[in-house]
Amino acid sequence: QSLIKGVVTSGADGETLPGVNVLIKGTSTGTVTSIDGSFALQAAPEDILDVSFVGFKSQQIKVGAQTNIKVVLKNDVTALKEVVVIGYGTAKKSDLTGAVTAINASDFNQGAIASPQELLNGKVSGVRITTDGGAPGAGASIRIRGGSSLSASNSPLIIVDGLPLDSKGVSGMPNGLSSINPNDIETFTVLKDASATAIYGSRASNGVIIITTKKGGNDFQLSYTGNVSVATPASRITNLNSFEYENLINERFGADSAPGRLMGYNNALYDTDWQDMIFRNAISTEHNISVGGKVMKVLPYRASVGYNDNQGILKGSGMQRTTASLNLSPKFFDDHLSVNVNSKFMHMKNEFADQSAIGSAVAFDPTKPVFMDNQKYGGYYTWLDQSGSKIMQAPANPLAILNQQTIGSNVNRFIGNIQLDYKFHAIPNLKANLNLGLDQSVGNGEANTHAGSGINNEIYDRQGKFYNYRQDKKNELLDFYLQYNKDLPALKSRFDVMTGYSWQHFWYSESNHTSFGDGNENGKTDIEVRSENYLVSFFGRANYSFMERLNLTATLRYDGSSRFSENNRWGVFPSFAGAYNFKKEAFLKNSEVVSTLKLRVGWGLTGQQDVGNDYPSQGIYKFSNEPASFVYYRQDGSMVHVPTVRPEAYDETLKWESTATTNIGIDFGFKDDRINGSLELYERKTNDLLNTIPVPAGSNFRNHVLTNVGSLSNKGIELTLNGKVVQTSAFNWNLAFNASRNWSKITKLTAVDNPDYRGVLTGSIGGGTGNNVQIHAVNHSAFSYFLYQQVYDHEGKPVEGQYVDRNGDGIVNDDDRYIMDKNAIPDWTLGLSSNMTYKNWDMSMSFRANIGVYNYNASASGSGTFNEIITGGDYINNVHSDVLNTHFSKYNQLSDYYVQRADFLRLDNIMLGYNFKNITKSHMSARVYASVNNLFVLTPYKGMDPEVFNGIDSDFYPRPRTFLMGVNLTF
Amino acid sequence: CINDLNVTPIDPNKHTAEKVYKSEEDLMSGLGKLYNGLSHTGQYGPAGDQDLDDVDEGTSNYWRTYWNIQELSTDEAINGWNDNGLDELNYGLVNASNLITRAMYYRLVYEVVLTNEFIRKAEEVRKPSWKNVPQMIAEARFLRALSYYNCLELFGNGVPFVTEADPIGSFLPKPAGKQFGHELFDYIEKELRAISGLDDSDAQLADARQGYIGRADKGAALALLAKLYLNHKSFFSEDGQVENADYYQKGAQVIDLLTTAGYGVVAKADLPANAKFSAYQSLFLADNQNQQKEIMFQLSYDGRYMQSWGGATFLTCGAILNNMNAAYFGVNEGWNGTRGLWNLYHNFHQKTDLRAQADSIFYTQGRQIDGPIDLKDANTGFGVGKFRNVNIDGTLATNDGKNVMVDVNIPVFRYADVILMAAEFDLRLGKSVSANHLALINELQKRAGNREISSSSAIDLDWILQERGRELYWEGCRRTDLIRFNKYTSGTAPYVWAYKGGQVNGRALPMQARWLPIPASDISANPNIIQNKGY
Repeated sequence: QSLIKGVVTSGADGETLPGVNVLIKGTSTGTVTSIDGSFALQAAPEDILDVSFVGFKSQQIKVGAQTNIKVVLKNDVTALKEVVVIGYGTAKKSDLTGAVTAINASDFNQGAIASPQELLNGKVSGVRITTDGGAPGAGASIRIRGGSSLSASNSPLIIVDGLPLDSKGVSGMPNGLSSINPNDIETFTVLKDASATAIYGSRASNGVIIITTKKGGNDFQLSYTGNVSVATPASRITNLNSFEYENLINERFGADSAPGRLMGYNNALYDTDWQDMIFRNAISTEHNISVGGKVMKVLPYRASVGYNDNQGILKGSGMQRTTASLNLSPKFFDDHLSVNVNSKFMHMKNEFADQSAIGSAVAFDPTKPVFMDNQKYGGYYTWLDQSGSKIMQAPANPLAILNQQTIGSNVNRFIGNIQLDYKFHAIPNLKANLNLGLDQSVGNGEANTHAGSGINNEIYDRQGKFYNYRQDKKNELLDFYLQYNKDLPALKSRFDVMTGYSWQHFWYSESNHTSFGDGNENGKTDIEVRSENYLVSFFGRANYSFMERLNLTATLRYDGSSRFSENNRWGVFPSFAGAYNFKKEAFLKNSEVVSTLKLRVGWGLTGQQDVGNDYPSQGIYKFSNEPASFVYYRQDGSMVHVPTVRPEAYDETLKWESTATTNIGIDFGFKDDRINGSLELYERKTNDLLNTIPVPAGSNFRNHVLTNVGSLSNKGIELTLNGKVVQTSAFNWNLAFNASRNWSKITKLTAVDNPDYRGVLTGSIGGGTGNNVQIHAVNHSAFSYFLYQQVYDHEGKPVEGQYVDRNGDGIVNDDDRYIMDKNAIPDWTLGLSSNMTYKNWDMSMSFRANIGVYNYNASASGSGTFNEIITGGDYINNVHSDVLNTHFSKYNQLSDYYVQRADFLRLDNIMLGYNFKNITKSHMSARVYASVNNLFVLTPYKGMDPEVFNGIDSDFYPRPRTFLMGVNLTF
Repeated sequence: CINDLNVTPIDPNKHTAEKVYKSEEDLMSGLGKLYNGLSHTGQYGPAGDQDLDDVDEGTSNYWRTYWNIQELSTDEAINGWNDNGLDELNYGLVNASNLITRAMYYRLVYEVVLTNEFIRKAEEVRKPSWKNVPQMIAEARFLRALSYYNCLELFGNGVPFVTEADPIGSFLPKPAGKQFGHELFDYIEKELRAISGLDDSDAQLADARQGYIGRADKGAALALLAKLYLNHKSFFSEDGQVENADYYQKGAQVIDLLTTAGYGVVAKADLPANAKFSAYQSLFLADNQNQQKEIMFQLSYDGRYMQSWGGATFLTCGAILNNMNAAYFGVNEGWNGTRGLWNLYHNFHQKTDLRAQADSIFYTQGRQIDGPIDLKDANTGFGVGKFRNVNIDGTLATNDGKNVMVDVNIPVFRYADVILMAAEFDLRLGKSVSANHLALINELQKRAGNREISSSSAIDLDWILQERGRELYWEGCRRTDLIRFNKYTSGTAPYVWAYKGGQVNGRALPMQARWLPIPASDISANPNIIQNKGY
């Protein structure tokens, strides 16, 4: 044995580490590093030193011939994970009392990801994310635990680096969140229950998602990520091909019938697959460069630039996004003042293809060529009447719809904030935090139909239609809070109290202009709209922790909104929660099996005021546009026109909608947390629903008015399970699974109970005006299907026009519609992720499933009838192939036949990667990977895609299957 | 910073109620909205910022809804569109959830609420120098009386009753009275008498034919008052057969005022030399504001300034069927919707009647007379091209034929109607049609190209109903007429037509079909409102 000396430093900043344990493995002999990080002990060459320190990865070092050992400890990522971002601060995960889930970069979805919410989809129990379709930059709906409102917003509050975003998004950018480059995101924290969200008071009823972006570290790091992908149409609407169509017409109507004669062009039958004509394989590329580190060892920074060129599978659709971000996080005055500057800039150029081309492609006669000899409408085949004009009711040429219109936008957005966090010199336990934020955007867009286009007769006659718009938006924030924490070792207690003030202003201005190519003033419009609202809040939180076992949290928020009149403006939103850590108890302390066991119980009240309209509680008069003027004549016949003015409906007594949430959660872990997870039970009751409902006729300036009537309940259970299935030095396999079940019910809808009142119809479909297939009704879930019960023959075929006389009064009429127990909102949502690493290889998969969900197949109900072929005019249509099942002649859109099971299992993503480590003996590392998004969907659903938000499936932009190759380089 | 929460609109087109009316012109915009409430919808035009919820904006249009109720459920028209609630109207059978009757109910009460607000505000802000305010208030009262009259004839006396004395906000309006009560009738009568100068009032309309065209004058108010008196028996009892001769007497007095007010039947001699259409057709053309001799009250339409998917656009485009040339009607598209029933065709005994002129008004080519009828088949029924977006000289209206927004002003009250009412009052008072009234009827016959009627004895009540069906068909009064003549519901000898009662060959309608149900949504919202009998 000889004396071995050494020094331990931190890999992150190179500083020496005092208090590090240095132990000879397998013995109890050891020492602790001194204030300068040095240590000394007696050891033999064959001994192994075990160097460990909280927050760092342990290291084992064979002594060998060394007498002076330098140990560099690396940060332990799992330890960093322990700190979770919560509202106005951070908390140690072990201290949490509410239902909070944090997801960081290593858990994100992979592959072709264009917008941030896709990173999260399927990863968190109780969070359902549904994209609006497969268009580049398409919007997405996020629902946390169902949704607690009917007419008010059901979207969660989204906070980026401390700045709450406006829920309404930006004109010209369908997905508000896509202004943030997914590659810049470090963590998502999802706050689900009221004890976690109530600190955000009036905006917290539908949960809160906190996004933090990446910051600079100590070491210089330059990284590049890039990928190229090919998207292919993965699904299509089933209509008849040319051959099937011709057969059907000949068999059903005869070759000499009107439809028979209208087939083909110039005595030839063409075989045009219109869906093939409008879709394509789309190629996209993405490049991101980021650089981070510390300038002069004092100024941590991170800067990034990203470029994404995303082509859509519908011809003419695409998105090009450039993002830049800069983060600076210096500290001053011996780290008493921390400054955090975040700025993100985005420029986006969108090309929106007119999605009506999809419906036209389904309906257009497949025996027609794409082009015709007649050049009137640019040569595109068009159904013409005797005068040579397009037949008004006939579908427009699908390709002309895409090629003869220019629809696009240009959006610029800046999101930035500066956060000052000051630890008082005199009282280091007292901190003050000031946060100033700005979210400003300008969206410009146009939707032009070219002169000569045959899409619409009026536009053709008027030599083209030109529409453009501009929106300016500004969201300003000021937050200030004081935080005080105190350890009381004598009482084995710890306190942490915080109180603050918040002010936020949302403002926008919009204008749009319509004109026609003929220069005629008729129909020319110039519209201008401006609006704003303010939120002012006071809030506080107190945490108490006893013996590291018991944690108690209480929060209170006092919110004022300019949307409400002075007497109803303010709302109080309290919450209380407690957690108990049983692992610290004697009976579990030494258990080898149970590594974590914590019980959490919480209750809280949250509110909602996001109703869209900024002035719902005061009497406002609104002047008309020119085409809504009033005209009268003088006796001499000359015309006088004046604008009209309309008083708008309002409810002076309008106030907060409030949701009371109770949550019980258990966190558990076994075998050193090799298997861990949590189970949550919740109940949410919303009262005073902000609800647009029929008000007594004669009492207001509208038949439906936004008012506080009704209540709603959501109950649910959520399970999260994580398991390290295999853990060896070469092969690792982790699985993460989550499952959520939500029961939702409207419990009150009107001021007066009336059994004859069915509810508020919703779920509008085409085919005529006023056709709705869903209803919000008491004792049922929102968006319940409300239809006639189809009669089937002995072979199980639906009998056309025959519905069950449910009330038995001898006639089948509107009174026989019924509320189905089949629902557009899934009972169960499930997610499963698998991550495997083998040496330098890694492979991951993400599955998602919905169970207990039904769609209304509007595509089949709207175009699956024989009458769609004959039309009554001098043109014919192709039909949805469902007509071969139903043999329906006419519309039967209100038949429950069209409500079809839409459960699914989707492989969202599968990825295989290879890591090159230390290729050049330098720090450089590289990774190459390949992935497929949306590889398959297993579903009994008969339509194009089972995953449709709120259940009504009508010709939407199909989600593509995307193959991607990518590379990550780090220097 | 808390004061930031006190906001007022920053939008250039929005004003708080305190600041909106700064001049008499501003008040005219408020009155304009009341007129638009009958002809148009919303502040965007023709769609985009609608007045009512729960119903498509074009479908919610007052005249489109009123017309559908008055015509589709009768022997004059059908429409096979897949619009919610339309089939039930075709059958004459609606329930308390029917979308179109619901739209009508809310539209009518909405119009009342708007007029109340206007009257309240006008009284509040008026300055002595604003000389036109009393007449504007009288016009608002006329529009309110018209809406209440429509409420009465369609839904009965039990509709919510609110005036300028009622507040806006969370309160439960009370009905005028019980279903067959007199309250609403009395109120309408009192209001109309006041604003037309029969009783003392400081707010009176312009004298008949002396005011602006497209705004109400005393002639309009008196025509409505005559209708109220004539139809009174339909309102006061379940079977609609309890008559009160006093009301016929009063009605006849009103008719006397109208027949001496300077109105006349537009005849060929009144048309310009280059007229391309008959005198009857001139009443339904794009420049029919020039036919004020006969049109006593119109809903204005203009292809540029007053655009709507309801009203005149609906009447014109909705009736253009596949084989009718849209360009000939001054628009660029037909909607293949409303069609004439064969009962309407057969009501014209002489095929030479100019009111049913072949291939100009009635399009029957390629359509089998009395053939099988299929509601959803656009080839069933025949085309009625009564409304045409072309000027009397054949030139195109302001829309140049390049869009569908129609210029035709809709005649709500026509002198021809007054003439037929005059004869009916005579008969209902137990007399024969007076010589004076017979002469007026013969002016209508002459214009129609028919032989004159030589003797009053040829005219009985049945003839009046048939003649109203010839002169006033598709003008939105058929249902009320059939009910008054006890031909609508069961009666003694049921009168049936295709699809009446939901059967292809027609069947009798039950008694309650005389009135429409109050929408279930209002019964739920307001416990003071009682559902009508039979629903």
